[in-house]
Amino acid sequence: MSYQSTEQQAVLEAMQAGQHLADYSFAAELHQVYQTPAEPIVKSKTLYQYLVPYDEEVVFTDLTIWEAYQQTRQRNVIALQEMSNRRKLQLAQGYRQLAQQKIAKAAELRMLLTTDQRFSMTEHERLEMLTQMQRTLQESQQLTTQADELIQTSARPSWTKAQAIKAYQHQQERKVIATTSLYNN
Amino acid sequence: MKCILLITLLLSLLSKLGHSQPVFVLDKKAIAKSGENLAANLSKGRQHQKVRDFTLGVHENYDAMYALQQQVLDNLRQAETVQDLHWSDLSKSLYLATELIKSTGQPGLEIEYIIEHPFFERSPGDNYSDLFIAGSDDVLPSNLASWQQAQHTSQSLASSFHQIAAERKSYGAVAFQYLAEDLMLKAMEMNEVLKQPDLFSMTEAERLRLQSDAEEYLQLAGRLVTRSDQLLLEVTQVKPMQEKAAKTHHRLVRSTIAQTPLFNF
Repeated sequence: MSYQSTEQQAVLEAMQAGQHLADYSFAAELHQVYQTPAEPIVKSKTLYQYLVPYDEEVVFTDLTIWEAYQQTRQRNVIALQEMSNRRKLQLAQGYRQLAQQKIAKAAELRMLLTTDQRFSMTEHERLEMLTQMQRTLQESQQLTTQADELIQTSARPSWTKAQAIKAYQHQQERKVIATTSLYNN
Repeated sequence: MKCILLITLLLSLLSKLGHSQPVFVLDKKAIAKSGENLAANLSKGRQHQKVRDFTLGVHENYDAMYALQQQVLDNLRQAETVQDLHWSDLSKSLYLATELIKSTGQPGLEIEYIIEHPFFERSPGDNYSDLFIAGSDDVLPSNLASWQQAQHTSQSLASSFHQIAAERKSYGAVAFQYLAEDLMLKAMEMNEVLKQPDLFSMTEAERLRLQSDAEEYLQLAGRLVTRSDQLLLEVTQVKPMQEKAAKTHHRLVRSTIAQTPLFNF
């Protein structure tokens, strides 16, 4: 029976979201704040200021400054959405792997438990281990369900991503239209 | 039998004393009998010795067993091997959890910033009349100006709830992130520790169960992390604040247009 597994490592890596945020250079500040361990209250306050749609404490009188502020915020939101989606997918994959590993473990355990002279334990413990195995199988099912749910919630691209994709598609279509001659003489 | 031998000896001595002439009595039968008796007694004594040794051995074994049991109990009582693990340190979780559910400032807890709305310090009746412009017994505002004032109060009160909720959500997101990191650390550590064969004295069953516990922690950490992300995203989508932002945008655009001259002479 192996005590450490690469599957667990996969789940662990999914939780370290730093890389996801770092991929978006326009959200470098947010990444910095998100990544640095600080007093929870201070950190939450900073994150709130970065993300909230309208900050009551700041008074805007200039349109350009306001628009720049809103743009930065919007970018932060985009980065956050992408991070969340990517993390969900990665977690789903990790969960799936964990589920498979659990099934394999249960099978191995069943084989070993019914073998003579393998583990030193009483019959009670043996039976308990078998019920534990049953539970492991259930957990594996739950994990698979969780993975499916995660994939479902992150299957559609976020609004901003969809807009960007649509814009790119339009651009390509227009390019094709522009280079297509109307009359084929 | 010995007594008889002695008696005969004594008798012979007495007879010696009594009579001037010594008389030698050679009772061959008696001598043989006493020899037999002696041999039997010796063997009996050896048997007794054996029994005594055996009893002593049993006693020693029992003492050793007792000592061993005591030692096992003492060993089970020790907590040194788990003292330094992160598992035994729940202060972080406790701190975050209490911060999260805490209401108004309690003495003894040092808080610099309390996420709490003044709403909960006022009487419910006042709140009701402020939120719905007038309570059941109150008269409605008499003129337009005071009506608008009341409406404004109501709206700002309603939107301040959303703001407080958003702040709390952002705090929750950070707390969940930290908790998830903590859990992750614990799960990793548990796995590392379980790999070492001699650190803990436990059966394989216990080991396996602990390992599955560690995996559960990992799952919990995953759930917390996704929850944290979700909360942060919710902070970015507070409806009244979005409306306020839109209004601000509109106002700024209008003021910019008002200030821009149409013709530059």
